[in-house]
Amino acid sequence: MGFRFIHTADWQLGKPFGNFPGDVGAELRLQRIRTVQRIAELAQERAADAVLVAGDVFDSNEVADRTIVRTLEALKAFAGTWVFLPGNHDAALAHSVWTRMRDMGVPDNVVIADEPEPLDRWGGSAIVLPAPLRRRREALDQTEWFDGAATPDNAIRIGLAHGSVANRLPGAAEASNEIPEDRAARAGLDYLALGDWHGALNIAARSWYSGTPEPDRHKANQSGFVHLVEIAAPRAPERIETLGVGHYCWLRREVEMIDGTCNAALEALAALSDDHRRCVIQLDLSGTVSLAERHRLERELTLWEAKLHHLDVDDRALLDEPTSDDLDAIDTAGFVRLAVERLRAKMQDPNDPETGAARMALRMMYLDHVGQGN
Amino acid sequence: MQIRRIEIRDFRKLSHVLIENLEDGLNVLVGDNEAGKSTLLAALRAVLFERHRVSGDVAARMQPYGQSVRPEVAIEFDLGGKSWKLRKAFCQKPEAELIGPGERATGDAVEERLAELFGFNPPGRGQSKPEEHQGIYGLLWVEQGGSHRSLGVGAGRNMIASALELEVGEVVGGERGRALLAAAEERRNGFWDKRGNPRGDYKALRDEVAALEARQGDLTAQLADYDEKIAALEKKSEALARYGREDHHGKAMLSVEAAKAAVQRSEKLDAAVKSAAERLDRLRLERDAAAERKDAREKLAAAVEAARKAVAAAQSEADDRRALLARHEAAAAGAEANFAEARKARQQADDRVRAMEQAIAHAQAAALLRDLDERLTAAENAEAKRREHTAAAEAITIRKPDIAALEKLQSESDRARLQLEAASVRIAFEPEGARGVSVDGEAHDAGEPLRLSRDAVLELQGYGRLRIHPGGGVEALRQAADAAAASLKDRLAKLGFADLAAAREALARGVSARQEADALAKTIAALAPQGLDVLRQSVESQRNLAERPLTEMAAAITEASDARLAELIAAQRKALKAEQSAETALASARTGKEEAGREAATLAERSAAAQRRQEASVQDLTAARAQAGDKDLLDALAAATDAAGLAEKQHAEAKAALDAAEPDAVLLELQRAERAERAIRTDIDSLTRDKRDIEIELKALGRDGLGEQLAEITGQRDAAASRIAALHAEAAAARLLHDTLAEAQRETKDRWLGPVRERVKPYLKLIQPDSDIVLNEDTLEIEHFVRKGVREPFHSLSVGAREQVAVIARLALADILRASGQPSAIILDDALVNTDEGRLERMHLVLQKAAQALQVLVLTCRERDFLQLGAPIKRI
Repeated sequence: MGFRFIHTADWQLGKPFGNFPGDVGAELRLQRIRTVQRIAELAQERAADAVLVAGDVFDSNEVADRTIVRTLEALKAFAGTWVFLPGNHDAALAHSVWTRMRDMGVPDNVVIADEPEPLDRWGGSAIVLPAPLRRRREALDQTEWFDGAATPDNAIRIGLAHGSVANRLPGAAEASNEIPEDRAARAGLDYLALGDWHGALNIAARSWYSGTPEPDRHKANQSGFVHLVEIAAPRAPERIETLGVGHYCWLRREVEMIDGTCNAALEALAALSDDHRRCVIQLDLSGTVSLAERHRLERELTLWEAKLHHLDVDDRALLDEPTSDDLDAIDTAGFVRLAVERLRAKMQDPNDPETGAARMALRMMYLDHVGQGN
Repeated sequence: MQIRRIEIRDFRKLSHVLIENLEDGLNVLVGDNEAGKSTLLAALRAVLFERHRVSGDVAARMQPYGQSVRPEVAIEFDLGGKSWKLRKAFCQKPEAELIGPGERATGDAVEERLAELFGFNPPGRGQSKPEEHQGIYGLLWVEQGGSHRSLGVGAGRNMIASALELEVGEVVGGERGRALLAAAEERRNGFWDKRGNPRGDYKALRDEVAALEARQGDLTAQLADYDEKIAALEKKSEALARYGREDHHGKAMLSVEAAKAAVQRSEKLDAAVKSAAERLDRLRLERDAAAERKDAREKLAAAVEAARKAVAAAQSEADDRRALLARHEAAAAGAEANFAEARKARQQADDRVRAMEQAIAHAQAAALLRDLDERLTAAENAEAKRREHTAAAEAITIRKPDIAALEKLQSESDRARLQLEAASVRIAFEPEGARGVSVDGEAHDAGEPLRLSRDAVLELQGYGRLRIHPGGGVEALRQAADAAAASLKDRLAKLGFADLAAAREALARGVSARQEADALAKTIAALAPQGLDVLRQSVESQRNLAERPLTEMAAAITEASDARLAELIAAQRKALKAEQSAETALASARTGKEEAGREAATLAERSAAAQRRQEASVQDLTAARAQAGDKDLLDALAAATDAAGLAEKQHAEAKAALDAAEPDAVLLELQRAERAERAIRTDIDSLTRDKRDIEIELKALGRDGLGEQLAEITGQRDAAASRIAALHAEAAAARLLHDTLAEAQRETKDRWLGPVRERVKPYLKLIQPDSDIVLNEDTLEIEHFVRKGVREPFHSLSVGAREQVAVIARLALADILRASGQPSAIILDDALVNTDEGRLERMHLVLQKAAQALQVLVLTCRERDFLQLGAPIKRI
């Protein structure tokens, strides 16, 4: 008799997206709950035995009551067992989101795995070994007890943990709450369901990160999925089906403009294949453009802002390079020209403290000039 | 343009004026006040700038007063080296003609051609106004009284501006530049207020970031607090769990029980000690009582002996005092007798003095009575005499007027008689022999002449009768004499006197009697000043005094005198002194006696009391011995002492047993155990309570979703911070753009006015070295005059200075126009009337300098001022 479950993690419910103004942020917040509901529906559809959430269900222990209540409501679509593991964001402190949830009344099918004790909810066919974090940063490896945890011989052993697997994660992943890379092997686990890394990743033998089901940052990794895991019998190989549940695409585009036009940026946007309404785009611009092109770019970006769910443009690295045509367009004589020349001189002097201001001033003057219909 | 010839007909007050041969350079046109020099300027303006068809008020004003004629103005002028003739007639049959090199225009074409030639914009209709419609001539032709006002550049501005641009090139930005500057200013104003502080959205965003940061700090602090609470909760739970695991409270309770048992044991021993101590106390008290009783008996015996001694001493002292008292009594009796004697002697001296005083007073009263008596007798006598004289005076009734009347009657009678006698016939008889004569039958002594004043019959003896009949009024005289005599006699009879002498004598007597009475009245007043009656009463009362009876002793005195009295008084004083000293001695003796009496009584009482005490003590002793004999008391004391000694020993043993049980330590141990138990219990309670409180608090805090809020605020702050960073850059750029544009504009404007400064300089040098005129870049009006580096607003200069500065500015602007190929005549109508003589000379230099290149027409009413100018003078 096998065990089928959905492995997910890092829901980060209650994440406020405060740097996204107004409705954009509100939608992003709301979507995370909707995605949880989608997971519940999937679990129900696929007749999963359980949904194991490997930590960071909540963005923090101090989320609002409302968030907890809505979360519990979103779970209703799945009647099977939910196992929630406290992670670093929602550690099982003396007072935590979990104690609060308990106070509100937790349905029977919801297990808060805040004690390092084997969970036997599936008639002995599978035992879940949770490694809850009871501080934000545990000094000791919380999974160690897995090795000695006794389970019936015919039970499938599933580990549930939250943290970074030592020496395995790419880049500068945070090194707290470390989990030894060979934990699954040493503890005889059939599957180690991990959370913390927001992308889906098979980090070691029988050790998987599911990633966050709803992307929440511009990071080029596999997020927006859950794992439907099926283990036919103890020590049988795990079968993983990756299911897309994410709604929003968080994309970062870095564009350098080298030909003096803004074509490259506009092309990058035109190349977006996803549903524009679901796109949360970070556009990092660099290079140089003429003032005329800058003017065109700004008009075009305004249009794109309306099309996309959110467009954030970082043009700090994009420099205006006024051409003679630009400047002549403003004026060829008189005091205006004198001012233009002075601003240009300032702009071209790298030692001038106002070089940036002069660059922008020229752009402003150009825009004023254009705005006057000239 | 140079004007060469002007001819005016029927224009306002000018019926005909012709001015010819106007030269290049300076020309002076002189006209007295009212001669019409200002009209001349108006005519020039009219011919150049007014449409010849102009009608209405404008046309009407050209007419001479009260006439309806055809005003006509014709001028000849050079323009661009060519000669032109212009003629216009107004009002009736308006007409215009312009003849130039190879061209001739008439009618409306003239107006268009003029506007073209002189670069002005004629008005659509109505009057041509210098500032609006006359181009540079609004500026260069100055009306009388207008020279000190602002330049009135007006419509000339553009011509001057293009002239300036010809010199310095196109330096202004034009409309586009102004629009850009306006846009830059608006943008800058969107970011910055006048004081350079952020405003509007920029400020709002800055404030928002600050507010968000404050909120973030606040939330962070709250969250830290929240975390602290969680940590505290952790600690409390841990502590409670430890108590549970290690059962500290149970152990403490056992410890309390053990300590309580030990205390009970120690309490029992303590009770034994206490009962032994009580017994010991009781036996000691009994022993003490026996000893007291023995002592009391001994004291009683001693008291009896002491009382006996006291009685003996008191009696002896009382005897002594009694003897002393007897001596004092004797002394007091002696003093009494002395005092009685002294008193008697003093009383006798008193009597003697009184008798002497009485005797002296009596003698004085008798003397006074005598004196008063005498005065009364004299006064009464005088009164009697006064009354007699008064009566005599009153008896004489005649008065001085009566006498005067009598005297008058007497003299009248005498005079009548003398007159009669004088008129009477005096008959002297010279009888021969003794022949008698009788008159009217009566004999008459013939020896006596006879005076006859009436018919009489004389019988002369011997002769016969002689009838005499006196004539000559004798009869009347005789009757008058008779009447006077009768009157006198009658008056005398009435008064009661025989003749006048008797009357006079009576009057004298009356006066004398009155004087006498008055003299007597004075005498009486001297004797009895208060009247006779008072004097009489005084006599009577004095008499009573004098006749009072004398005491026997006084009566016996034969020699009463003051000297004697003095002797007696001295004796009296001596007796008084003796009496006083005897009295003092008596008082002292009495005091001594009384004191001795009191002491004797006291001692007697004391002796009696001692006696009583002795009797009482003897009685006490006897009674006591009757109850218990002295030996019984001694035996009882010995028995009680033994019993007490035994009880002491038993008590010491019980105490030793108690000490061995360490009751203090046992008690301390109990207290410690109880305190420990209590402390543990309290701590558990308080931990439980605190834990519950913290849980409640955390629950409440959790509802608000602090973490969510903080994350949200942090996100917002980050977003706002990146927005504000962009705005900072924009704001700085906006300011830089505006500043750069404004600065550039300022500089180019400065360059633009450069030619004006150059032109002004040589003129200013002539009147005020080291000065400058500052024009407004836009309007070209004079803004400031700079003297020695001090800027003064044009309008605050004196009128004189203003007109000089304004004339120079006009000349400079005309210079600029000339340089751009537009030489233009300048007309100054009494433009320097407010300039003092000294300056006027310098201004003439200025005009001459300007006239080197320009035609200048000076209209003036002050010919004298300009005679020395060396310019042709033409009169209107």
